[in-house]
Amino acid sequence: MIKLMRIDYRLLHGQVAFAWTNFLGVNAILIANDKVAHSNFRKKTLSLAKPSGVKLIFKTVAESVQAINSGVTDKYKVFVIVETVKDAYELVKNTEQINDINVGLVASRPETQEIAKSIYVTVEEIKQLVEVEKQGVNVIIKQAPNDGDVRFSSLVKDRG
Amino acid sequence: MREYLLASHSNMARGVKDSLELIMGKQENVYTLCAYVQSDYDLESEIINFLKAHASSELIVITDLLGGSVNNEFLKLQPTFDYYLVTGLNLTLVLELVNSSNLSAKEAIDKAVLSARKALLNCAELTVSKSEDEF
Repeated sequence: MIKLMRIDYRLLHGQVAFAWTNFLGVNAILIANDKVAHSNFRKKTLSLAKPSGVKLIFKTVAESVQAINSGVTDKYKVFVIVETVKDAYELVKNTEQINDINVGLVASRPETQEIAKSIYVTVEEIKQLVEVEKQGVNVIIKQAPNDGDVRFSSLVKDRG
Repeated sequence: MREYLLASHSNMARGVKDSLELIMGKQENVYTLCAYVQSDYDLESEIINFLKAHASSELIVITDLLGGSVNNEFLKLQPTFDYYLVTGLNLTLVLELVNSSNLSAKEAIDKAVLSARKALLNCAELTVSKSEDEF
């Protein structure tokens, strides 16, 4: 089962490897990212942060969708990490098992607005997240696991 | 509740706690003792005051330097008070400790010391296994 999908442009780093993995009690981390899946160097460096006793799996977004839909992830407690809102949206739209999205760190780019600390989104990305939230997915803004929950929609009511 | 005391010469302990909290969020049960920051400083009585105030909790003390005065003071007081004492303070060690609160203190310390040792290395000697995980 998918315990949580986090959007974090730094993917697997200290906070994610230690705090989130421990908090969620997962036994598999799926990094769903096209660039990383094709870069041995990035796979190597990300593997350095791999917590003990946890599988760390790299796949492109399309392969991740395929894996989740095939049922191979069912027997694991999986923590999915994506870099962008776009990738998160792809995964949610094309699978049925993701019920919770944690918006962690979203990189600043042209035409983005900062809606919370370290979370920069475009108008298009706001629309995508509001859309999946309307379909029943919890979209929660939260850095560390013991921070409070902030619902994405509560921050973007008057924007977008 | 298990408590942790990071103890160092000057401000290292405070810095390690600051980094720990950036990664893990606020840690209510992690305390710091930064020795000799003030010129007129009585290490022994500061330690004794802390240990008395925390006598009812399970305490793990992590000092910065084996053989240093901070660690020596805690070694000296160990027969009088009840706490675990670990030295070689670093971020990996503390991260592993606070993430092993489900284990007994002894097991948590063994595990944390082992990981921290493995994480101390010349990166030129870094080897990563070639096999990749799969579901």
